[in-house]
Amino acid sequence: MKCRKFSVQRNLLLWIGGAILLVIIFVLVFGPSLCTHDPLKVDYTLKLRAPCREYPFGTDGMGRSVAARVVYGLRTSMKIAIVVMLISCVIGVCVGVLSGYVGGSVDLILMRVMEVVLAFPDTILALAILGTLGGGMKNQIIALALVRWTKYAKMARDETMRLKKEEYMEAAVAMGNGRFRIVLRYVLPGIIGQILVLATMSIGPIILSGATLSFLGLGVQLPNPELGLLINEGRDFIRSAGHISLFPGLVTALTTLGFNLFGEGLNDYFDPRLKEKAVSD
Amino acid sequence: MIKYIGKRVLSAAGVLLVVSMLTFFVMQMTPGDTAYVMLTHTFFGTGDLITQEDLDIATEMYDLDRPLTVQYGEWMLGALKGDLGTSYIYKKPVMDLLKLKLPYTCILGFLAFFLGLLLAVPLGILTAVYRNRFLDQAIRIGSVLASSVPGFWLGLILIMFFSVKLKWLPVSGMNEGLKSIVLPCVTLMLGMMPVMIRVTRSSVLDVMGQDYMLFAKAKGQSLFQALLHHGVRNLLPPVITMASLQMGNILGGSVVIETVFMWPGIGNLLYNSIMAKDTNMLQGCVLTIALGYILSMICADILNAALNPKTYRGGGRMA
Repeated sequence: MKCRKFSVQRNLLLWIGGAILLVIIFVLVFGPSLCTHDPLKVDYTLKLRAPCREYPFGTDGMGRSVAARVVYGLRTSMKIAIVVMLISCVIGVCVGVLSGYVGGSVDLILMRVMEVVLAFPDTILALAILGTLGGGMKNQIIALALVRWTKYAKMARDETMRLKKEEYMEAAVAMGNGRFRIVLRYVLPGIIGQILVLATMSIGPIILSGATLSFLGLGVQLPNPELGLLINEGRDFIRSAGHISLFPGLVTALTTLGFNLFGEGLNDYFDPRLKEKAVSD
Repeated sequence: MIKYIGKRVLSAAGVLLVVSMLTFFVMQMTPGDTAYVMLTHTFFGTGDLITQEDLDIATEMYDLDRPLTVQYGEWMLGALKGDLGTSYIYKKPVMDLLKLKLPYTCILGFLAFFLGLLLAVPLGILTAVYRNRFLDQAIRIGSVLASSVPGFWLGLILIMFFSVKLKWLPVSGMNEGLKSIVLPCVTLMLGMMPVMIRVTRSSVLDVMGQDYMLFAKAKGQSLFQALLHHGVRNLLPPVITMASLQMGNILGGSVVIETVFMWPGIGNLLYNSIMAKDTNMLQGCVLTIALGYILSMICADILNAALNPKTYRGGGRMA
């Protein structure tokens, strides 16, 4: 009975997360055509309007529609998050598999490199890189990717080492497969599930850290909208017009929540250890 | 045990050395001439008035034309003596500024860290003991929600509600003593609690499934007694390790939170030094924070080793 209850709940996370993501995707695809206002058009006669029918999220200090800016900002944020996810995933998996499969001194060196990267708190490393390279969207992506790859590398390394001990791996070697072929045909398919789960789960945190960097003015530059930047724009108006920060933040939180729930659901679904635990409960 | 601690500290010192090198060389690669950046801040305030001659003088004054490795060596020697160079914008030794600002960050950070732990660990134990019941679900949903909210935005919303609307707490700064620390502290705490609750929950669940817990129950101990007598030692290590990693989150979060709340700590200093391209200052801030983070990881390892001698008797583990 308990087991069944757990399974319903497990699906629930996936379903709620999926539903939120569908809404987000809808806004990403159709948002711009639904917006009647230009997110960049300045009109001081309309400034600081409270939310109304014409402007569902109100207008900002320069009379721009906050709703339109949020729609475009969400696009920018998602673009950054996905690019960062892809880059860090590729770097991390390459390093991890190489380290785990080859082992020896290669492993030692790569792990020392990782140790140094991990000696900085994530945000601090990203800030230091941005402080050196200067702000902007491209550098923001580089900084975030340089911070995030370690998560994949760690996972890929552990999993590769685990797979290496499996019998079928021995068989693959005995069959005369080359190293590259073994990695491609036997190692990667074995860890792809976990990579996908980790990738899904990492999008939420990437959106948050991306927004943090833009909020600090070190990421996407004005006047382009980005969620963190939009929240920052509202900082000057927290006494008079709270909605300017409120809505971009809500959208950021909702998007992150969608990805977190969906990733969580996927994780529960794929993680066999958790299933065992649920049964043994 | 002492040998283990020594080894751990040594390897951390090695990491710190590489970290300092990395920080130094990366910082020196900043686009834009260091001499130019210095002059714009120090003497003129605008870039148009600087002539080549001024640049040459500045380069000579601060020995900027020598090879980077030599510069690093000198900087390192100075750093060991407690001299991290001079801040270009504040025109004061970096070390003095760090000493001035560090206490504020420590007060805020430690308060948030320990209060967060004090709340998160019991909550995690509760969710594990009442797993899959209403309380567990409620706390879990709450923590997923909390981990999805951007900290800086939460800070702004808290300011809007408690400071602007209700006027209970000051908007920013730290002139009102205890009152002014409440909001930044709560914001930082909410950032670290979800992860801690989750780790505690899974660690307790893990321990509760062990045979010795069953035995303790068979002896007639209640669940809490058994957890207290036999569980704690085994459920704490993952919690301690995660707590040390969360220290990093608090340190990183402090940059953002201190900026939002105008808290005069190291995070704020770091942010200002990035904005002003104050390389020496930035270097000092980054190194201090990395040092704090590494220290917290060493503390966690030593605590874990004390709890579980297997850690240092049977082979080490990664930092």
